[in-house]
Amino acid sequence: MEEDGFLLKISDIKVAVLRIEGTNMAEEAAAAAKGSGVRAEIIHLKQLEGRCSPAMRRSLQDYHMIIIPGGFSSGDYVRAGAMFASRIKSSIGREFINFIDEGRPVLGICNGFQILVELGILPSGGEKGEMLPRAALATNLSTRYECRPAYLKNVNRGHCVFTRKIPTGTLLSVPTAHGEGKLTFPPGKSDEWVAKLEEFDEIVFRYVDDKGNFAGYPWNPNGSVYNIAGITDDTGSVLGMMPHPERTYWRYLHSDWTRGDLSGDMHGDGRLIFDSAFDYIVSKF
Amino acid sequence: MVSTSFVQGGIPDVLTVNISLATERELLQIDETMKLGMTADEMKRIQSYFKKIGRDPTDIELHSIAQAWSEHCSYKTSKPVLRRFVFPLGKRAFATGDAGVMEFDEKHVYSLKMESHNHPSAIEPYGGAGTGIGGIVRDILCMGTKPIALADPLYFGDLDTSLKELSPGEKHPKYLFAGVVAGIRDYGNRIGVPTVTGGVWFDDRYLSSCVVNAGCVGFGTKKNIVSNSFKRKGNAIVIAGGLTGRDGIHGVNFASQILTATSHESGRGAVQLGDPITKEPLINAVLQLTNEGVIDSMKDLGGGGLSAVVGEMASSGKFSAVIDIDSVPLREKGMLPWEIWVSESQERMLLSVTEKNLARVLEVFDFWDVTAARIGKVESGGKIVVTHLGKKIVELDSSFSVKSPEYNRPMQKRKLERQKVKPIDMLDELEVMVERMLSDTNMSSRDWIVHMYDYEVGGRTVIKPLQGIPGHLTHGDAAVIKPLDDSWKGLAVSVASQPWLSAVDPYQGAVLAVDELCRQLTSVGARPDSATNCLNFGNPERPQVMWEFYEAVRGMADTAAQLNIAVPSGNVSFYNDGERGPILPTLSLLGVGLLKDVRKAVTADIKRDGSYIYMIGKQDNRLGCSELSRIYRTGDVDYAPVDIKRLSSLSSQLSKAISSGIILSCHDISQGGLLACAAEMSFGGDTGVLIDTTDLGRGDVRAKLFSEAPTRWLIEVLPKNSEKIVSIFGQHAQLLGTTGSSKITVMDNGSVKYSQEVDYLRKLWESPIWRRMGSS
Repeated sequence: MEEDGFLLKISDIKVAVLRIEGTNMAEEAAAAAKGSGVRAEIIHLKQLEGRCSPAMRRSLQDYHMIIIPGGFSSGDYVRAGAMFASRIKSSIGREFINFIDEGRPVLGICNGFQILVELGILPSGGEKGEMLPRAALATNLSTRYECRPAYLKNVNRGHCVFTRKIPTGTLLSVPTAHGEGKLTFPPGKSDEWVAKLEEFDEIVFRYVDDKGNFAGYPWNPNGSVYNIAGITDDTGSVLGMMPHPERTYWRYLHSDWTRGDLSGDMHGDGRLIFDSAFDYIVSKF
Repeated sequence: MVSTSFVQGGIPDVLTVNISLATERELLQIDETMKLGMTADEMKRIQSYFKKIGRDPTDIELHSIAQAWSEHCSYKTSKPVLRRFVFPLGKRAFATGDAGVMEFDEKHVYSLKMESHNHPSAIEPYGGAGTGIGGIVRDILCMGTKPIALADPLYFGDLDTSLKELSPGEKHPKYLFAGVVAGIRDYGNRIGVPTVTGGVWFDDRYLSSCVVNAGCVGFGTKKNIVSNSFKRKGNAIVIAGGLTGRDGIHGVNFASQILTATSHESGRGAVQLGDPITKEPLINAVLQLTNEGVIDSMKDLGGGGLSAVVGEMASSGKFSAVIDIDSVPLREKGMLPWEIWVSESQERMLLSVTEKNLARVLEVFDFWDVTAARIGKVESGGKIVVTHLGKKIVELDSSFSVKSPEYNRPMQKRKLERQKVKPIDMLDELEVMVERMLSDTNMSSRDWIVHMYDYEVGGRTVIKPLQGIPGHLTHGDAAVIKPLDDSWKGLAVSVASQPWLSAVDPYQGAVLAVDELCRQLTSVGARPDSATNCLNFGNPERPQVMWEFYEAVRGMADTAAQLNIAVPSGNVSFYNDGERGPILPTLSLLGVGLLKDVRKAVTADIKRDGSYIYMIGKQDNRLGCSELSRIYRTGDVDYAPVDIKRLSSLSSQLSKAISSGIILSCHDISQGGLLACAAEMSFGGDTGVLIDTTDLGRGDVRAKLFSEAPTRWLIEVLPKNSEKIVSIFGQHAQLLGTTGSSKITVMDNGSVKYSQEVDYLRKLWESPIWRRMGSS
């Protein structure tokens, strides 16, 4: 990491957008990060594993933040995210955990969230996992792939770095697009888990309707327990969420922007999530 | 097997076919045995070619010619008609080939193409539709452009068809519809290309042959556009992507025949298997190579496999291709050379690269874990040569083997049945009529489909297919893509089709389809720029089908020419036919419009209370070929034709007015007429509207509300902008009402004719497809 005695500038921040085959939303995630003025590089897992030419070799140590973007890594023909997670585990697993332990932020969007759950990093409930899944993002209750606008309420009380710039209780418009997003705990353990997540302030976003009330389908597009859309871990610097903040990074990507005024600030709701993380990086590193 | 016709000629796995001395009957037996799908005349033509060069062909040579001469590959029936009417409309294109390429700005281009995948989808809807997407994406890719939007017009039998009504071999429309949508969903979503628009039509005339058209729009830079033909002697020929297997053998011959009761069994081997997770890295690798400028020319492997693509890349006649069939990477052992040569296995591209760039090309494919292998070389001359175990097993003059005969098939104008027009006052009361119309599956909400497609992957979909207040979304007319980070310029994308009018008058049906396309693109504020098409028809050997085709092409071309809409690419699918007779004449259009500034785009949902609603265009209360006439069987022949001049001027005035910012919302009046249009606008804005039809001519209020006269829009404007609207559109702007309240209300001659809660009507409109298809 670059440290020269001065504060890190936003433009010094380097973000790794991690992909394998089928990770098809790397570009939009990188574009969002770049929109905030940071440097973002799309990296294939092979480049971290060393399965490439020396010039293409990359190391996680050189980045301040990782984004695992959406898509269908390796086709998601097994459980969504399972293949990507097992490849991370078997190659760069240790580095990945160290990265998190150093407090460097990791954002898993959609498939990225599924991967973080498969890795056992999320949910945490106040304690580190053992790289074994403790929950699942199961097939949506509707049994359908659901691409639709959604509203999220920031319910985090301050633990998660990705909501530093978002007051608790704020409503954000962040759309969803997934077939497997229903956060599910082992049978009989749901209440216990939700209580733990609440206790340690690890719930970040919950699905609400357009009035801000917790509501059922289609506002909760997948039937997720407790309307959970996004969670953090014990460090607060990991965020996994099914909705896509990069898809409302700009105001003109909101599904209903034609109903408002597009002059003035062009930034959309999703930007706050990225900017919170960058703000944290600047303050910490 | 005509045993005496096939002999071992000394090369393992290859047979020599004795055709030089064969009688016509024997020729046809050979054709039948080898499933070549050729006519006696075509077989004789081949016979005389080989007589002239003094030898008999190998089996692989005959297969090679049969692939190239299939209707699917050769367009032998359609080409004479297309050459006359459509090819001149490609003049404005920046490049043509597997897809049409049009200028976007000084540096950039967009590309467009649409293709049918009807026959495979009728046999195996999930795989057929998925590989339809796969194929169209490769067409965009092999021009050197990046696929950025998909659009799928689909046509099925009536969802309420009872099982008893189906003939042997026919599949229920619900099964086909569910399978096709799932196939598009799983392929499109996985490769990360958003499906931004589409359409679905239900009619019994699609019961035996469903129609599945897949369209794609691409984007790229002028300097990276790649040719689809060999350009340089000495280049290496590289195959990249999926492995070659036995799937999709004879797919093109299968697609050039009508489906029968046994096709679902006998045709299964002709259906290809798709793999989006081989495709996604292939797309990345090819785009990277395109950007690096190391590909000389490229083409995708589709119908006819290697045989077709090598032939087409060499079709200029200036270059020869020498292919070593043994170096093609295979998925299964024991494939015969001819099977490798014609296999339609998916996710494959053929590239021509210089020796200097070969290593780099293979390196990039390797990085993306995409299989790639050098399989041959470009040489001078005009021959297609294939070797196996070091021996030549194909040596054909491309001037013969790739250039199929063309046909000017006989045409016969179809006579319309005389119809009795039922007077409107004998029909349902207005209230019942509204409910029947809005809940008809051809009218009702498509959200059951749309939410299953990722319509915004890529982060470029600025105007989505469903528009309005989240939770109250309605149908939009076109989607808008913002392809560049540093420019506000946009592309509007829309599809249009008018199968019912086309059944009455295919010329007028095509004109109306272009009208609809322009209306939709204009609605979001775009200027229509280009259109591509899929021409789906029955068996062209039926003179009436040939006439329908001819008339549809003529209608489309006449209209596009007058509107200066380029038609830089297109596709024809014949033989959508069977015991029930041909499908409706089905011209699917995919149009692209340009927006100078996407921030000026408007959507269909009503924005506020107290606005004025104007109708732009000219009312005509004839009801022929409307939803109303279809549902109530009131007769089709009396309809309002399109006035192309009026379309041209109103469309350009309207897109200018939208750019100037005085229009809050806009929706074109199409299926279901004025009332359906106003209702859809209300649904999206979750607010009511009051419409007064008094000034829309004399006649029954039902005719005023449900007429589908062309070239009309409803727009919402602030009262203070009324004068501007009147000064722009003059007599073609008609003040109809105001927005507000929770009801849709219709007044005519001073009295309320209809009033109903928006919520109630929305439920009627939203539920029909969900009710029939369930949740998945």
